[in-house]
Amino acid sequence: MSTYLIYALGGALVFAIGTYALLARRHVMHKVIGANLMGSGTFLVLIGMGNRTPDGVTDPVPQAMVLTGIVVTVALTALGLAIAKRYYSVTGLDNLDDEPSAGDRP
Amino acid sequence: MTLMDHLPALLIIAPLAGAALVFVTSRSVDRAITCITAAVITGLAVLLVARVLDGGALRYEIGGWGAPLGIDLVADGPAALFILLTAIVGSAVTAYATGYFPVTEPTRYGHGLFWTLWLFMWTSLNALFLTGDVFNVYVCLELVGISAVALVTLKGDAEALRAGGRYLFASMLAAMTYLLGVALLYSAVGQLDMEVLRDALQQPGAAASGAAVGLTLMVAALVLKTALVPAHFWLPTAHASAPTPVSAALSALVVKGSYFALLRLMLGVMPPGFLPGVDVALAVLGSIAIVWGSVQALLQSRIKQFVAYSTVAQIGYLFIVFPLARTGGDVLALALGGTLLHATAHGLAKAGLFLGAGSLMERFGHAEIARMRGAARSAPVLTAVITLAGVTMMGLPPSGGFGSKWMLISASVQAGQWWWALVLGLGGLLAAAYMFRVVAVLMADTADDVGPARAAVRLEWAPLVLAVAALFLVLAAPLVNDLVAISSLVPPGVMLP
Repeated sequence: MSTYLIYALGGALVFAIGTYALLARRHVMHKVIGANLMGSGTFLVLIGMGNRTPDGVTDPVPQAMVLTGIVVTVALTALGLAIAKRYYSVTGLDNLDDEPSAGDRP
Repeated sequence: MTLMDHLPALLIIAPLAGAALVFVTSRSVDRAITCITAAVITGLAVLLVARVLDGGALRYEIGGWGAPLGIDLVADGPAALFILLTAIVGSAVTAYATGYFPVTEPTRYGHGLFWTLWLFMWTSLNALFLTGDVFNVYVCLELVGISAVALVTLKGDAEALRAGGRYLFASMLAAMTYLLGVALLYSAVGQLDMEVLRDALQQPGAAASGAAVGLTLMVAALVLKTALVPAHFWLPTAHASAPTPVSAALSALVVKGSYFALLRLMLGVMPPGFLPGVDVALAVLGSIAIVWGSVQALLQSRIKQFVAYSTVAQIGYLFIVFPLARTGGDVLALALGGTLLHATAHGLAKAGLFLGAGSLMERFGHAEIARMRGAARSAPVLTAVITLAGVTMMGLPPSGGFGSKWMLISASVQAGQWWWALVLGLGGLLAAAYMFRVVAVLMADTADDVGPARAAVRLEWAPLVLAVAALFLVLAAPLVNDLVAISSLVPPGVMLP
């Protein structure tokens, strides 16, 4: 079992757990964390790929992609948390599935 | 290098500079800067179209680092067409927004952040249309998504936050899936540039590698971003609860961004039949979208939800091209020309329809279609907007919707896949049904109460310009065909209609 395969399978597992959380959990925080897990799983797959070059020199492109991916994920997470916080203060709800009752609307 | 050679970069820098400037300067000059930026982008877009028609596709190496090491921008015919469409619709939306967001109360529909977010979204859309690198597509898609979600939540009430939150989670799911797809594709092929990828995927044995899995994930993610049925669940609420100029930009332009990336992947990167069955599956889902979206549009009682479901239906037409493209040659050119003409016509008409619907809501003070009777007398221009945009949705001559359906039906018949022609015809009938239902209410004899007319004339003429442009768009079909020919999506030597 090559080192890359460990990273790839581990990454796929983390990605699957994140997908489950994003789709199946109702709480907004669980969804945000799920999306972050999906990102982390992908980053594991990418990072493990770096040492697969034939000449043994690490390929820098996957690392550049991980770095960019982290920045994008941080921005998405910040926006998600800001929306969750505001939604909670407006409606008192911690999930987006329940209909906010008419009295909650400002 | 002359200035003309830098057009692809300038088309990203101009709106980015405008957005940054709007953010740091005083509120009082927001509108002026946005309007100037819109005018500059429109000028640059026209220059780009002229340049591409004249000298063929432009390949721009950012910072002088060419692929595979650097990231290249590719301004081919379809990219130039979408940039021009974005410039025209964007300018109309900007003009409308200056009337929609009241000067005296800059925070009435949000936090006065509309202008900067709108220019950021324009920047990322232009970048998305121009990029020739599959990883850069991911970055651009996320920039579009983040600014779009922020724009949806501008009002900050429960409905807008809920719609924006759902949009964001759908967006996150698509983003992460797309990125994993890129990772697997890179692990199999070791390339990210689309043209280099196309050559690499033509090697024997490429289909057996992880590249197919990666590309499948990427296609699935883009389908979710484009809101193709059954992945459309986030679209109606997000598009309907946003402020009206945002609704128009989302429905007319943002869904086209992810669609364009999908088009490049399916036709420009993958050799025909690389993912067997996916092209037919996409067209079947597109057909379901046409029927399902139209039926939902018929059932909606609120006007913006009605327009949003019409978008769900119209998106479906964009996916019929994939099984036809497999035939190659003239049929591919015809189908692609029809599809891009449809995207353009839908962009213009849908922006007009959303802006018109938003103005009607302002006028009546509510969103219920059933209580908008007699609008033909109290708001004749807005009724004309809805009717003319409806002509394009139905595909009657001489609208762009007619030209595109004609080309797609001809391509289906020539390809020997006549069943898609039936779907296209049925879609036109269903569009007639949902449009006539609304127009009949607007033209009713009895009249419902209207509020006082808002002073801004822009709330009426901006949508009217778009609806009229869509109505006569069939005249622009030769231009669209010329642009389609200058593209990596069509093999060289193909005769165009």
